[in-house]
Amino acid sequence: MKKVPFEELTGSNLLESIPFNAAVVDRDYNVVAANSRFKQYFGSWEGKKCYTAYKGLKKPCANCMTVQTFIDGKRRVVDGVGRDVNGRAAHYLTYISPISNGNGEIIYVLEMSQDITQSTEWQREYNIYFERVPCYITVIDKNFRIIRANERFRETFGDKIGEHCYKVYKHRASKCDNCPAAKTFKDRNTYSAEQVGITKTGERANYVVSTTPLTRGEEEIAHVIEISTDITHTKKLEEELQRIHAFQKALINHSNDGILATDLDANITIFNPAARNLLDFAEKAKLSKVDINRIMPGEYIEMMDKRENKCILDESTVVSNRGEEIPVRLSGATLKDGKKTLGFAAFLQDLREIKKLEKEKLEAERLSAVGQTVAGLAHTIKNILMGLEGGMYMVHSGLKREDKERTTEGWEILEKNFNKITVLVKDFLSFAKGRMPKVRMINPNDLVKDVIDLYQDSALQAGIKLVPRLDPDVREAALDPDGIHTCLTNLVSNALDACMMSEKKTLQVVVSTRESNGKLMFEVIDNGMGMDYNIKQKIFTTFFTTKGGGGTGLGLLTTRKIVQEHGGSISLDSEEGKGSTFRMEFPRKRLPRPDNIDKE
Amino acid sequence: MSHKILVIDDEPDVIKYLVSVLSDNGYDVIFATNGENGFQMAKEESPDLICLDIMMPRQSGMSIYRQIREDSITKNIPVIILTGIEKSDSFNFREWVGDTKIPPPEQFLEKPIQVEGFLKSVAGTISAKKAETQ
Repeated sequence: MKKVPFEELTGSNLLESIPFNAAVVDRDYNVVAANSRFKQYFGSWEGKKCYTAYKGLKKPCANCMTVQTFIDGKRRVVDGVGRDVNGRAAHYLTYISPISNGNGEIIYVLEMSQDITQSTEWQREYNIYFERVPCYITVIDKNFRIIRANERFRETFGDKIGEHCYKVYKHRASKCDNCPAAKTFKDRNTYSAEQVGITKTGERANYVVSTTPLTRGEEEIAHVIEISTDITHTKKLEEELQRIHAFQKALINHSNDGILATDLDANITIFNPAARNLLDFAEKAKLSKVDINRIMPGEYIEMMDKRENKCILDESTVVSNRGEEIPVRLSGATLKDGKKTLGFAAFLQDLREIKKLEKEKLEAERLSAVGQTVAGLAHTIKNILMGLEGGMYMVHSGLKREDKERTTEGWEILEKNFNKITVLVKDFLSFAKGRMPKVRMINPNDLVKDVIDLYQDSALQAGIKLVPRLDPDVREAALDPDGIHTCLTNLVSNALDACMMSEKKTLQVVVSTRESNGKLMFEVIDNGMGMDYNIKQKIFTTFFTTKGGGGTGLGLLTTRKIVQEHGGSISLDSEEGKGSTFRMEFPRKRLPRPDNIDKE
Repeated sequence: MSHKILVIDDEPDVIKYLVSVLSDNGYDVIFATNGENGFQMAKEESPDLICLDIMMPRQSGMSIYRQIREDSITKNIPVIILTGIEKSDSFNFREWVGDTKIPPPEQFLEKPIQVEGFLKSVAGTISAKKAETQ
């Protein structure tokens, strides 16, 4: 083989004009020529073997491509890692090209190397981005086959390179309608669309896909890159929110209680069917026509004005569209998000039916008490008849025997029993008539004081201490003063009688007032004879007297009736030989309203 | 020998009436205006008959009745109970006494009593008892 020095072949200028690091190597790995770029990059080369010049090695590289080119004369591109002039790792791409002499023999090989250290770095970074970016990225070809997919995608949808995107993303057998990738293939534009896919584990995945052409400037697009953001979580939250909203809406719409909410400017935001019904607004009535200030009671408006947390009114009234006052139980709240006030809501429970039932119940109780009274009346009348019979016998037999004393005695008995009938009829009428109480605001303690004054003298005479025990904190209450006076006189006179029948040395009757759990209470407590089981059983239920012919048996019935008319109840604790306590309890919220009662 | 009758009633008018009627008809009458005294007298005087009003304060007539029936001295004395309660409908003796072992009284009489019928019951009750014990 004829070896021609390299300079003779080309002239030294040629290497300098190559825009790469260029070196010429002979068959014995000697670097025979190189340009100044090469020298700048790898350092001085003169007299060095190529492996020393490029990589600082002492023997040829394994798989040396230059040797291959000497053998087969082919051009090659080789990726290599060596050391630059400063000893740093250098990544370079080398184009290997044979140089022949005139006989076609390869005598040298030209190596043109280009530093790609930087672009390799970029590529690695790009790869990391591609794989790790929190999106699904796939590259698809014109047949909609996935040719590349990132790690995130593979994790979610499986390692499905080569399969159709619609199969992998959505488990479909054919291409999706309205495919954004197809549009991008057609006109090179970027498209976005919301999609629902199925993951490799069969779960639903919501994502927004954006398709971009992957082009190197060719006329026709070979690939489209699909970048998808997973919105499953957001979608689920959104759906949950919708569900909650629908649920709440259904609750509000189906609530039996009227619900009425306003924003800060008193515009109605919720007005459910129950509220429309209650307030008599047609279904199509404009919400702007609903004037909250006209409808709602003052306490609620005040809560709104003062931004108070809540307002609970057990008995209040709202004004309907037609101006009718409707009794309601109202629970109002200022709606807040943290410190921010959002609006106000009121829950209205219609009390009309309850009020009606309450009234009916009271009436029924009164009628039943009247019925019991009538049944028991016969008993009392029989006792009086017995007296009349006795009186007649005495008069009759006295006249017959000309026994003036017996005649007079008999006449007195007749008179006494005649009076009893008069009293009985009067009592009975006052009980049965059902007169409406005249209610006004009054201090309960004053009523007790009046009754104590009334009985003080007779109590003293009988050796009984009559003691008021009044709670000074008792508030005024809407009561029928005459009615409660009657109740207290009945109970006090009973208590005094019970004491008189006892043989104890110290006898006393205490009349107390107090407030307890929203109730106004009166108690009449005696330490008299007390009652046994039988009497306790009968005391309120029948026309019953323990006073022989002395009582009509109407006192307690009348008392109970008056107490019930005030929405209250009466109860008894008694122990034979120890005494009795009668207790009248009036729940404050059930007390009549002074003005209302007067109207009726 | 005239029969002795004990009247127990808290109503003075009724006492006067019954005492007059019974003594006019030859009975020896004693009376008590409350149950306690009545029971005491029943024990001490051993009457041939007791007329008892069951609507009395302090001790309801029924508890006196129970006492009489439970005491060995008095338990065989016949008793006529006078009552304003209609025995037919609303009055249930067992319920009233609250004790099933106590025998009912010999007679229940509803007020008002009507003199003739009352005297017949009194005489009948005494003689029935006499016949029973002889």
